[in-house]
Amino acid sequence: MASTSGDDLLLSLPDDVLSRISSLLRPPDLINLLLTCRSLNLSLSSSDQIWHPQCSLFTSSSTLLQWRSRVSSYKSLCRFLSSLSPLVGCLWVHQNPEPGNTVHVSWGSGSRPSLLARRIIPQEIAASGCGGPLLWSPVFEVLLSDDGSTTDFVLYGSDGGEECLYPGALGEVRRDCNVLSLDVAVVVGGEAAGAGAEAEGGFGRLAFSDRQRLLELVADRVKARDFRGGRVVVGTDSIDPGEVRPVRGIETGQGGGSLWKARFGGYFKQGLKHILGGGGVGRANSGLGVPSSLKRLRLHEFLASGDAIGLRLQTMKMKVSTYRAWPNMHGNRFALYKLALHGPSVGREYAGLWGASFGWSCGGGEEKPWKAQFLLLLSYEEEEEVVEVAEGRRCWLIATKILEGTHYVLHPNGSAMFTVRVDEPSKENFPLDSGEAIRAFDGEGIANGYGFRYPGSKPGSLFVMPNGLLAFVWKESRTVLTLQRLKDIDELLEKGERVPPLSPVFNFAYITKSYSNVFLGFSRSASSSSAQRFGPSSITPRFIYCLSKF
Amino acid sequence: MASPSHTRTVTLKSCDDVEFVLDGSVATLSQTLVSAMAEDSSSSDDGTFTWCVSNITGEVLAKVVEFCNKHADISSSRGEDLKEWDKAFISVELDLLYDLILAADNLNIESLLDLTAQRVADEIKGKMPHEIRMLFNIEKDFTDEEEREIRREHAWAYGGESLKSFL
Repeated sequence: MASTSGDDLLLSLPDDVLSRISSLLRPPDLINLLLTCRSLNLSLSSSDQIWHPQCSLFTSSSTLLQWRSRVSSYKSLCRFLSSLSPLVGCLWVHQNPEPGNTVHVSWGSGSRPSLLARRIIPQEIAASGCGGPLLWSPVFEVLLSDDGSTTDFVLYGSDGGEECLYPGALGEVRRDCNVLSLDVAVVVGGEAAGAGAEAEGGFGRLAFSDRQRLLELVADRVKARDFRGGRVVVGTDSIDPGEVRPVRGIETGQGGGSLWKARFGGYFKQGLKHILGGGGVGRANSGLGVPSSLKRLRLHEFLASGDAIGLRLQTMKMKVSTYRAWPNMHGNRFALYKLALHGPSVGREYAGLWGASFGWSCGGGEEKPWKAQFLLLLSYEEEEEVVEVAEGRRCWLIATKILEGTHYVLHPNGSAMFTVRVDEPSKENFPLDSGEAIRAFDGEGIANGYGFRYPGSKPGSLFVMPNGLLAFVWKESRTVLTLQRLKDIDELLEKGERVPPLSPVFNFAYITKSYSNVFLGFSRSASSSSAQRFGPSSITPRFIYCLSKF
Repeated sequence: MASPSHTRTVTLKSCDDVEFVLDGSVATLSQTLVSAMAEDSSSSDDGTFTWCVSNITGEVLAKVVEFCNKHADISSSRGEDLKEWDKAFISVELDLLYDLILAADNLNIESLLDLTAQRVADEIKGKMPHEIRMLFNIEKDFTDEEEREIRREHAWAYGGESLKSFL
């Protein structure tokens, strides 16, 4: 006879039914459920059957199976995946260098659970066309530590042509973060101080030149060929003032926090101040009447606020305005900005990431050497109509350029390659012989304007082709820009070739202006095949002409 | 040996001896019946098959049969209509819901397991531990200290404290 009471419903369910129910819940509800009583806590808290479905929400089963052997339970893996998921699947960008600085973050593919940030470098189209493999360079990686309770962070970089790792720390990951910022954190009593770069005593209050030199100095000190995890800090007292390139003061291991302090005298701190210069000294007191949290901080004050310093990646939520889907960035922050990526939806069928190239037929058929690949973000923008006639809203489709594979860049990073009105279909016919468009929209395409920074525009139309390609055609010149949707960027990167990173601080956010492809310029060890696909990265005479003209 | 395809009817018998006659195609929704029929060689020549469900009452079995008949009827079981029907079907008291879960588990009816599990999950979603306890009449056997400890251990799941690395 079945129980006639639902009183003990949850407690007497068969295991497979309980796991079926729990697979329909997300972690917060699952935790609330296991908090109800001992019996449910016992059956839910460490069961792999319960936590595997939670992990599957983040990554593939084959990856999970591989990672399971490195962690104590699927629950601890779920904690890792859930904590870092706000960074995953997003594109992070910086304005410089102008050909594009686009970093894609995804789960790693090694045997240790990790999150890997890879830069899609400016490149020519692969032989297989726009949807072909992408060349990439590693930027940073966050790995789950062996005990599963913390993470290890490494910045990728190179020194003298040789690849190195630059260990540091990852700060608390904010769910709503939109900026990734590299800073130098001060360690006080074993804990990194300052919750954000803006916090009191923070790196953000140092002068730009101090911040740059400090980052470079710390990166140089923590540099390693090989890194197995643990804490890596530089004792502020541990630097020999007598040398221009002082001895290393790296402490690794869990208990390293206070060792160096006993070993070195306080007078060394003076040396570090000397080496780094007093860049901020003159300006320190200029902010009379400014709240203390906004006042410029002097370097020695920054260093005196703790026992050691180290590299740190901070995730922050900042007010970032955008223009045509492109974030407006600070020129002096070592930061990457989140690019809002929205997939297609009803009425916004073309939203998302597209590969593009000039010429009709995207890489297929006609093999042209030196064909630059563009990466475009298509997004929609609605405009409130302010006229009496209720025409409804104007809706624009905007193609923001986030990567350009030309030798020297033609238009600024984040320019709109075209904008078209999608609320009003066009009557234009596709001007080329091959093919007939199923839809068309009128608008404007990018054109030479007032200098590099302010491109102009000329009329053109966007055609939707039956095979899913898009083609923007400039009316006058009949130049065609062909677009192909990039469905799975992870897969394109996975198949693509890895190229060596730049020097560490540049490799995170290349804040110096550059108009040519710097990502291959430094890579002496890049394979000849990829080097050939790019040619020289130096500025061409024609480009110098462009610069001098504007 | 009988197989569902040429067994025309299946008779289900509840623990309180109530009998339900199902069409063979309806019975295929239950994996338990499919396996039992496949293994059974004593099936009568007239194509009938009888199965006793030991721990399910006639009242509950009637609901299960109603569900199977609806879901096996291809002409009516489409999209939104079926969703609406399911929603009404599963709006039952927790006592009956519990019995339906056990019946679905016993007869291994995938779609009924999904529907009942979803209902339970929907009851739990968004509720605090004390609300879940109240709903399902669970006695709290943690001390406050233990509860705090478990909360602290799982703070990450609420999006609060994330996994980080230390300098």
